[in-house]
Amino acid sequence: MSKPPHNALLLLKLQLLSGVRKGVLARLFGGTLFSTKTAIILKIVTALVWVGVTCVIPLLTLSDFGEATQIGQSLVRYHHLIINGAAILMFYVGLFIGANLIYELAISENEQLLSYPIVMEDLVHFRVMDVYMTILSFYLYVICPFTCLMFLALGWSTVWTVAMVILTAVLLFAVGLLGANAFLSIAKRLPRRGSDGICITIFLVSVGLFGIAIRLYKDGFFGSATMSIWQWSDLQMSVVSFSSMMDNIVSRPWGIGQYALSLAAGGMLVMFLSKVCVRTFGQAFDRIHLQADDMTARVKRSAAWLSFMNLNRLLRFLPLDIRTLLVKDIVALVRRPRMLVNAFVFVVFLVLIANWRHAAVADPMLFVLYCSSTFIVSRLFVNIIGQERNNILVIKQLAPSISGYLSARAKITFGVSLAVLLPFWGVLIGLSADLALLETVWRLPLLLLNVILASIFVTWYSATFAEFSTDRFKKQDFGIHPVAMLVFWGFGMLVSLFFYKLDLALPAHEVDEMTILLIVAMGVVLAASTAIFRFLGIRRIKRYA
Amino acid sequence: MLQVISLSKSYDHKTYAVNELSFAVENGHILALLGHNGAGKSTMLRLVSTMLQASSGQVLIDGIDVFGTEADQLREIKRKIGFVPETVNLLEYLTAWEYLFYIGQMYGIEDETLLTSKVNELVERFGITEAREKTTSDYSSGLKKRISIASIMINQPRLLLLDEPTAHLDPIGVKTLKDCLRELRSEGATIMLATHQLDIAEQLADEILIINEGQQLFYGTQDHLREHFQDSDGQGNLESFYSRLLGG
Repeated sequence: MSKPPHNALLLLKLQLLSGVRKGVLARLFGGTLFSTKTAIILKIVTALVWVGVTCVIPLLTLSDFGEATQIGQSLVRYHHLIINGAAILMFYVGLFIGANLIYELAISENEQLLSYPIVMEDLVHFRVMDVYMTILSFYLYVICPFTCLMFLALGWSTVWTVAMVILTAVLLFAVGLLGANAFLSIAKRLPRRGSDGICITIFLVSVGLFGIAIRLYKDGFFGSATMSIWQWSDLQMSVVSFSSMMDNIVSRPWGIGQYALSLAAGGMLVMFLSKVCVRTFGQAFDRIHLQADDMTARVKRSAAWLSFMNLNRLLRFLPLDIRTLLVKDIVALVRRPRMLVNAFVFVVFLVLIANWRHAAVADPMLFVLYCSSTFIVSRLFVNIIGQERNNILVIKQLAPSISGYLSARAKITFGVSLAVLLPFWGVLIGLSADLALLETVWRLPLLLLNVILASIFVTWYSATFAEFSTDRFKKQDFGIHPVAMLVFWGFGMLVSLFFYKLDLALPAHEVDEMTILLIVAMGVVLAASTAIFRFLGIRRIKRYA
Repeated sequence: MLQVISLSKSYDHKTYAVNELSFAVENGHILALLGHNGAGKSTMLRLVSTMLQASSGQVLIDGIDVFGTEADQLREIKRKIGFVPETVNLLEYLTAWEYLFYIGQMYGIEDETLLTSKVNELVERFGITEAREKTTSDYSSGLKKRISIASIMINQPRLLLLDEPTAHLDPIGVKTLKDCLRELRSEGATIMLATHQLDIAEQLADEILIINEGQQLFYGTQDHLREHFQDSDGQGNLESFYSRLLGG
């Protein structure tokens, strides 16, 4: 790969700075305190602290008790599954980053960047370097803690754990680049409009097929009731080369020479893929740039494809977004001690209601499934509304009236909810060890209803924030009033509890008092929160944005 | 010197935003690009600034075809160009001062002391208040426009492309802009501005290019325009010529 041009590096530095200034620390201490140098240092330190904390705390627990904890045991037992699972995940991350590149080219501020003394080659380099950063941050924040812990739990020394984590990082980075290249190679040959669709189709179809294939294979050819699905998956994964390579290292630790050689080979692979990535991206860039439209055409297309764009935003970087959103919500609470007390009281209330009349959370995993479905869909959507509001032209074209906006919003919410959750459910069905296939399939309508109800709520919620007034598009970064957030979370929890209880009761065809109580509670919360919003007034809510 | 030869741009191979336009602007001259909304003015400027690829034709800057040159040479050419788009989108989360500083770095000014003094001078000249404290997104649209104009002045550009430069500017801002443009013209810069403000065009432009639906309606000096469109009593201004030409 040729040396990145000066302006491409400068853009990357500014992007880092912008990331830090948008972050939680900047919100607390004032954004302009951070320069580009401190931003870079802060990014590195944050990554190291994150990896350190996520590894050291469980490690201390391990040493305190003198034996592996449940986490440690699981990591050791299923290390084939973890390594190969991480590789598959990294490939998908690469795939979505590839889609993100095309998406960025189609609608982002590239044109604005080209008005600076920047040529296309600089832009291509900048975007590709941006890809590296995203893949690396995904590895560092999501995968690295698990691999670190796994190697430590396998009994490796700290030095060798670090060495193996570096090797894993290089190899998984290459897998991520492979995913990005795979998408770019497909996208550059197809019309511009198809690029988003390809990524979603690949993702949905492959994940769905993956789930179904596992299910059929396990049921049809494996058929053992003595082994759990995790043990079985780990066994299957052990035959794949990447996992086997790690297994060989575990059983016969390598010498420095072998390690250095494999690291160099991994580095060469990354270099090669980088070169291909720059070239392929350049070609895709040229193709899209030659088709560049004027503003009117772009807005028309954006309006038509709004649901698709939102869908992509959700599917890309999903884990990172949720992490950021959670941190933002927590910081919003921590900054207001009174809200923290309210939140505590609210949580106690929810726990009490969940355990009312000894109807305790009997199936925690099921409960988590419902809650997370509601939370992920609803919370991400509230965030997206903020971004969408910036594009006044799109909104105006899409929604000249409140009813038009609500109708469009409801369709989009429901569509995206399904797209986000269906693969998740697909895998769940595929991997369900304890449930019969019919029982798992029967669960889908309930989960779907859960999402529909959450979608209706989000529609109402976003309409509340849509503010069909003259200055509704003034704020660039849209935040949430803590009261609204608490109500929002609380309502989501109630929806989830309702369906969870319904799910548990279904086999016995019973709807207990708890379910009725939940229906009443939801109605009360909805009415009360509407009243609160009306009382507070939109302008007061906006002050917190 | 800027030379445009048979330049065309089509988005769908049916209709043309710019259709077979040819003109030239000498060093030290200002060309005013006039036309109705949607006439193709912005597309024209985006083509010249290399933000868009042309469907056909050539744009020669100092004799070099910008669509056919290598990246390194184009990078050098772009360092001579200053472009202010109609809708100003500054890099967010930077203070106005930082923005000007980093744009200076993009233009290749490596001496930080020199760059700092240039930035300070521009901040003073364009009246950008609280430049070190406020981020670009916190400024009003008028001040954003000033920042955008100041940013292209940082490297003494040889070719200035301005799309509606006076939009959102207050009278003081307009005066500063006009002074700057006159100064750059006297230093030999080539300037091309798209505007609906006919008085600005009349005051500043050496040549006028009027386009409609991407096609050239008139190209020549102001004197040339007067010769063609003067009233029976020998009177008339740009506004009356423009109205007659475009049926306004």
